[in-house]
Amino acid sequence: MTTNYIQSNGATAPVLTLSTSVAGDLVIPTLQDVTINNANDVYSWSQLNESAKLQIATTSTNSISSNVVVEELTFFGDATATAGSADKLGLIGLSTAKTQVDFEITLGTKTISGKGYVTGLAPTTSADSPVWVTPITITVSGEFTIV
Amino acid sequence: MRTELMQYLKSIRLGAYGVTDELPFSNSGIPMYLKNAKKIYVDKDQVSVEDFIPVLNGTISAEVDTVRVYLTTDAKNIPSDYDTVVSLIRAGKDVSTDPVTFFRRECTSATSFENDLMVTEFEFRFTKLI
Repeated sequence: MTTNYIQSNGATAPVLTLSTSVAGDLVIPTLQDVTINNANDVYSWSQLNESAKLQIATTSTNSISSNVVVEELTFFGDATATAGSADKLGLIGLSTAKTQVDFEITLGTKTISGKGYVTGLAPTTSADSPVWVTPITITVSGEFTIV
Repeated sequence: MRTELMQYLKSIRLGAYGVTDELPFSNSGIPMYLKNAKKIYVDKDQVSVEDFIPVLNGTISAEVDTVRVYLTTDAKNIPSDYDTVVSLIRAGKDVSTDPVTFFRRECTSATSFENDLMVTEFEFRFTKLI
């Protein structure tokens, strides 16, 4: 049996990059986990000659979700970067301004990309944690592009 | 953290105990803290780096700075202020020129006996992200 596992560490660790219409990409460096959601809606119906419902996939709802360790420049943006760029806005800026982003996430040797919006930020810390951690969701508008 | 601990120990009242700048080396196979009872010896920092928070493209590491302190007392005639001195030394775990840097500060103490001498060994551990 030939196996070709997609590894998620070292050189093949997933890289999540956000960009706007202004040059200056934001690479999120401290991903703890990543989930790529491609959830098709389903239309189902019954037919008299069938004992079970028939189903067909319709439009999908796509998103990318992750948990990241909060890093200052990534979260608040780099003040020295170009105005309007993802690097300048940071995650909180992209979320509050509701800026549409172009995203890319690597999965092994493949790249999944598309357009979406940063949502779901909820930085959290606790007495026994030395760092802040936040979930992040990129709500995807349209379909994924896979290269 | 050896420097900070030394400054702290020298700044507090330790009764009949004194703090030496010497490291706890051995002379003729006998540690100096056994030869000089009631002298507090502070060892060099022992530093280790550990993986602390795993992330997909690597790890966020933590540096643990361990400092050992030695105090020797006559086991036959323990000074009345021994427990107070031990508590004061143990409180050195909260010494830091930058309290934000170290997110974990710990101190454990243990006693052992060498003939008629009681050795109290303190182990201070200061942990910070790097």
